[in-house]
Amino acid sequence: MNCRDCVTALNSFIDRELSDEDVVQVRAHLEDCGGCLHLYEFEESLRRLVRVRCQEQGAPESLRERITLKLAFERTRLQQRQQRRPQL
Amino acid sequence: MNAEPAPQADTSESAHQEAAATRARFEEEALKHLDPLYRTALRMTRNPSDAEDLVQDALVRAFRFYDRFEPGTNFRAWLFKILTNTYINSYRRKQGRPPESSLEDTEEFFLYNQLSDDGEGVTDVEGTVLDRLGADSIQRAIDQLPPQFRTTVQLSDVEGLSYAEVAEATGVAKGTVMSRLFRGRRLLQRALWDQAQAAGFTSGSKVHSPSTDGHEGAENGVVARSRGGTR
Repeated sequence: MNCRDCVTALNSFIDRELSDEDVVQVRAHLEDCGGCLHLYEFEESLRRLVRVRCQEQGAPESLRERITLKLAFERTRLQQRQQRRPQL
Repeated sequence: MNAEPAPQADTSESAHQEAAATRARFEEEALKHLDPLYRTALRMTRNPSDAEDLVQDALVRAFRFYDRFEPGTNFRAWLFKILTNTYINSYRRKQGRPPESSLEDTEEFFLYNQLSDDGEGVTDVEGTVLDRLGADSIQRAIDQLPPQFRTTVQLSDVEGLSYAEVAEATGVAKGTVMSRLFRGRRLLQRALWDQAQAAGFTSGSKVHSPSTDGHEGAENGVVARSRGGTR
């Protein structure tokens, strides 16, 4: 594998979407090529930064409560409808 | 489309109990994905109150359609697909046409090239200006992507869905996911750089007006001059 092929495959490699065969080839190239290794490490750390920082945000607790209530309501409605059905 | 579950011969007592247990399981499983669903809804609507309504509507729909979910297939991707459809059907129209993104397209690996300016490759965002970007700035950068790229990047890079899962969630082919990611990440790098610039983190770089003194030197110069003025 040359640098161009490695750079092309890099994102799929980071995404763990390459075939086992291609993974072996990319790894072998990264061991030999400092330039590609630096790029790989940088891109991987950037991906991690975006993921970790953005995952700090969660749903508000009030939304969780609201949905729990709403689903309980839906469940009751569904049960009532099913109980009514045999009498028809 | 008919939202009613097909009325099979499942009206016996045990069938009712089974249905009730299934619905209870839905709630438990679905709420595990509440944070990712909310974050994604927030990127779609770019508005906390709409995002909350969107997630609630999507989960109610998912609850009603739960008997159509095939056990053993991917529940998370299925939920995201309902979120996407709910957004397209009810919210996108309300929000009107999104403003055209003014984001400049750029070369691949733009940030690496920016930060490796002196010929030495940078190997980690830690210690660079990017590391100083908080969650708000990064989310703002994602929000600047055109919608189809925004959702794809959010699902892949923040929520960690596979290409196949993103394809199911957004209703496109896997190849389309890959090309959206390719372009979306390129745009995101530009948007992140813009955020770093807006926060004043990137002075002295080649994008900022080049100064031979560097930022600190210039500041000292100003201080020295003002002192001179008060004399």
